[in-house]
Amino acid sequence: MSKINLFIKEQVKTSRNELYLAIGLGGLSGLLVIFQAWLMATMISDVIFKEAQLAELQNRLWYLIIIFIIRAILNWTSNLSAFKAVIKIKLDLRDKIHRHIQKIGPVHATKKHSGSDVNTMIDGVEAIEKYYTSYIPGIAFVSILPLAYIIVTFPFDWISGLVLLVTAPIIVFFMIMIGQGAEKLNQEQWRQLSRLSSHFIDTIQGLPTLKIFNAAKREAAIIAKLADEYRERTMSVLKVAFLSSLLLEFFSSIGVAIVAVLIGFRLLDGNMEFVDGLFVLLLAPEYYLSIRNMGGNYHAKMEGIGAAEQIIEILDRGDFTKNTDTNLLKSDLNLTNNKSISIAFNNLSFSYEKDRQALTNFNLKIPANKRTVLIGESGSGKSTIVNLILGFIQTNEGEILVNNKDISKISLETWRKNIAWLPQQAHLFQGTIADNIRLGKENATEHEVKEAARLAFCDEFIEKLPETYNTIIGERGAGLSGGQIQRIALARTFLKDAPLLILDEASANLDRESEKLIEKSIDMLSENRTVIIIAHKLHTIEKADQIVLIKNGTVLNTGTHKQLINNNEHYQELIKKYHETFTI
Amino acid sequence: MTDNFKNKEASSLSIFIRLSKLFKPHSKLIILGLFLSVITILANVTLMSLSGWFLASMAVAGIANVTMDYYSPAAGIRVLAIARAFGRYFERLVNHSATLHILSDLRHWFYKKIEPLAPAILQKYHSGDVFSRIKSDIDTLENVYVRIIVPIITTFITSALFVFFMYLYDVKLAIIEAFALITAGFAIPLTLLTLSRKTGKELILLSSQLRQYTMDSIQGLGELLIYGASNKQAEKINKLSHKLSKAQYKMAFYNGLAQASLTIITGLTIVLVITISTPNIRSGEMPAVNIAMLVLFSLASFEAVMNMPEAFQLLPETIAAGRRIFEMTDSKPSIVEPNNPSPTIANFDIAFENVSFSYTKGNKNVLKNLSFTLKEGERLALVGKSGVGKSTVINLLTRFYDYNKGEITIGSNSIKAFQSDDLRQYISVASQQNQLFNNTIRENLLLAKPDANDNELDKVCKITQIYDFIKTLPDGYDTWSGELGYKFSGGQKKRLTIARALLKPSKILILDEPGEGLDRETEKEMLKAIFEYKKSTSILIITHSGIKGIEHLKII
Repeated sequence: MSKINLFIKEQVKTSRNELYLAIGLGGLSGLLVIFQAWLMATMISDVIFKEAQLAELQNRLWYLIIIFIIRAILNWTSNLSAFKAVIKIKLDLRDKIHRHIQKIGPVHATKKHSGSDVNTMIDGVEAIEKYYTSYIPGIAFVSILPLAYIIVTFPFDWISGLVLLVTAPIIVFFMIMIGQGAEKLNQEQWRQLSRLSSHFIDTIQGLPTLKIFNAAKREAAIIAKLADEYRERTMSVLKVAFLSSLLLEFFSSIGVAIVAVLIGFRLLDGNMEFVDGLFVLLLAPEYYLSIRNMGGNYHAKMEGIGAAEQIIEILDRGDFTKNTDTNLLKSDLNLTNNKSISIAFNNLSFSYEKDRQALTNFNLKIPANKRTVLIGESGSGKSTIVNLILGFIQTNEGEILVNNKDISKISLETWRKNIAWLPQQAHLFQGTIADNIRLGKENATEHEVKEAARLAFCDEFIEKLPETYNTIIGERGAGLSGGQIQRIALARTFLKDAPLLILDEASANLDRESEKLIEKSIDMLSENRTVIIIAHKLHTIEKADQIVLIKNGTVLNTGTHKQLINNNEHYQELIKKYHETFTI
Repeated sequence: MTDNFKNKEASSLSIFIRLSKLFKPHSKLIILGLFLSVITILANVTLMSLSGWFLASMAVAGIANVTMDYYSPAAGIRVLAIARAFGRYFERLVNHSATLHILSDLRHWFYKKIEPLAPAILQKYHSGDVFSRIKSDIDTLENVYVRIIVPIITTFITSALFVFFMYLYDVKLAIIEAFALITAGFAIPLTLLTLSRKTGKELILLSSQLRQYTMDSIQGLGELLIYGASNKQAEKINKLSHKLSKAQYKMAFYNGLAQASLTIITGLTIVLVITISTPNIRSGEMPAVNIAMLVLFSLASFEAVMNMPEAFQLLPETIAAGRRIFEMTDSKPSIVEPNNPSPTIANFDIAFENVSFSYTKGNKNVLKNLSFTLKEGERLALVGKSGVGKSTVINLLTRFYDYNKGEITIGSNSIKAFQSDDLRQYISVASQQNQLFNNTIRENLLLAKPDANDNELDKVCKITQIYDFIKTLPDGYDTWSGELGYKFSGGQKKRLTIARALLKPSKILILDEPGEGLDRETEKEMLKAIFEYKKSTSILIITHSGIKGIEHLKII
């Protein structure tokens, strides 16, 4: 809890002044209510008891309208000032989260479902807004205004002052009740409602399946039944939940009523000036309102804290005990003469979590300008090797040498300039197809882009699209097949033309055509390059210069297909699985 | 231009009327809710004005040293205070209840309307987010009553009463009250809406753009890092985030402006009420004590229009949601059910004879002159590249769509002669979508045969080689799948949905890409077991690679 509060406070640092201004302006407007009430009371009193003509009121009428205008402007500017403060906070937070995710890389960043991180960055950051625009100023107002109203009331009428003072704790008590009890109930109801909604959508989405099994008509009754059950449950909860707000409403209404009646009797007895009584009556509702405004703020607070929790969770991700210090002076990788890369793993160990060793005493030499293929069961450590080379994860146990230089001594940015990478499921970004290919080389000419597309065999279908290379890519490449997406991503690697190529072969079924084309394309790409492939296709394995057989985080064997097929049982077994492909 | 405008307005109104008709079954509850809303507002305004009048009258009586019946007003004040609190309580209860009734009805209504239209209707809306749009549209419509209808009607009733009340004292006062309420309730919110319309649209656009770019940042993080584009992406996001904040600030500016105008209108009204009442009092037309009542009344009466800005803000999106939903439910079904009962069948031979089909009129045919036969109890593999319409064959055979040309027969009867429910009774399908519902594994399987016992479930799960896995789950068959439950992998889903299809006691079994997401070993063994288990069932397998152990092959 205190960590969250600290976090929330820390964000304010940059925009403290705007927030103070918001509180000052809003508070001033609240105090002006007192003058506003006093002006109204004296005018009414003068009309009734002093036979005042309109002309005698003229000045005060002007003052009154001016006070209303000033209050309008004060409230407006107070809001805007709070908003300005929060804009700074939101921009900072979003940038902070984004850069943090980039810093820790995809392996650490995507522990959770990526969708929920996107929600935190968009909605979570938005949700924190109300904490600063409503809750913080609200807390300030509630600690100034009711007190000010009550202090003003006492000299005029101490009995009413007492009524206000005594009822305040009751109001606050019920507000806390509502805040805590009802809020929880409310959230539970919301959870149930969203469950109900997702069942509803789930059912509609599944209509084809339901119809196949002749269950579609049955579901109609279930939808109605669930909604009715939800209604009954909700109503029985609400009956109780609304009770505390009933009492809250009741005590503040009855507070005003008691003030009015008690003043009335003293006026009748001649123990009080009318103007004083009316003034107090006008202030009483403002007094209760200012206390009750806290209720809404509670919600803002909870929402803000919830959002802060999610944000902190992201910012806490990543393991910084390991050697990722970017401030360390790092040398550049010198590849000027010989643009080829060889990699060696020496006694390297890595674990994602304690007790879950991914690589143990791993030793491997990846020769320059050769094709190395990694195979093994899923979970054997293939991806970990690639992630280490890509710099997505680091380890302190053992070392990785690139051209005999410790990889941790090379700056990541420089190192990555030498890598082209095609992941198992490539991502296409917002923008045109050309933009997406250009990711490989930012300033590539149109000709270069087209050439890369040609080499990746995606020129043909791209040119058939109405907008060809300028086709805007839909969400997750909507409209393109998995194979087409991979080929576009492959064009990037041609464009980048890096000395090291890393491929994670798609294990999912691409269409046959794409599979063949990608295969051909990779063969071209592999010339004069160091290539590392996590293989899923037999064809790829057979073509390798070096096959690395991995099991439980260690190298079981290395060699060519011919060497391994005859004298390695484990390899034979693995290959059998690839071999028994169904033929037409 | 103007004609166009009129048409659009008319249809907006008609959409609103159609919506209201859906709420008709609950009209009693709705009227009660409205009544309570009105009472609550009246109680509060009366409480304030009565208090003002009471104080002034007591003071006058005190000075004149005369007695006064203070019992009734003092009691009135207390009663009104209580009425307000309880009125609000019951109003909230009744209106919530009405909203929940509407929620239930609306969903039931929509489902019943959409059921005969699916899946054709849903496929028409190509975009993947058609479901989230339906969800948000239905959510929007559920709030029509409490957020739009209640505020508008209560505003009208209470405003009319307030203006009438002022009219009892002076026409000029009535005019001022009317002017104030119309300005605060209609003019200001409408102006705000017009001013902020552009910014509002910008806001929606920017936040969806920001969401998409952020999605890119996270899902494509690895590629951004390797291709050195991460900084550029961070700048892009910052730029968008900045733009969004600017639009939000503009929105806050407009909202603040509306709020400020409201405050000024309130002040102006009070000043005018005093300005008009004072001469009336001096000339003796009005008792002096009334001024206290009238000022407090006009101050409190603004409560009548408090919820109007929100109602106005929601109106356009509500109409749009209603239009989309009605557009869907008004669509024509893609197939026509025959008037006669389904024919009885002698055998289950399936024949496609020169079948042609396209999903949308005038578009390229997905299937062109497709012919093949599958005799009862035999097996056929339909093989072809992706995108040649293999899955369309399922859609036609199960009558989700009707073919445009040629004929499909079962046992020599055109499938168009069958009631679609009867036809589907004969057919079981494991489709490519691998749809599992947010429910337990058991319920998902039982969909195919509601009265199946555990032995039967075990059997089909063993055939698809998912049995051992289910047994390792702590809840076994009672494990939940979906959003809130266990996230099954593609291969596991495939096996579960095939198990479900096997469970259905049908004469025809269709498997769409049964090997997807499975390794070849598993696929082979599974198919062998299926052929063994469903010996006398006709089996149609749709695939882009070959299959062993199958008699017939049709390449399309």
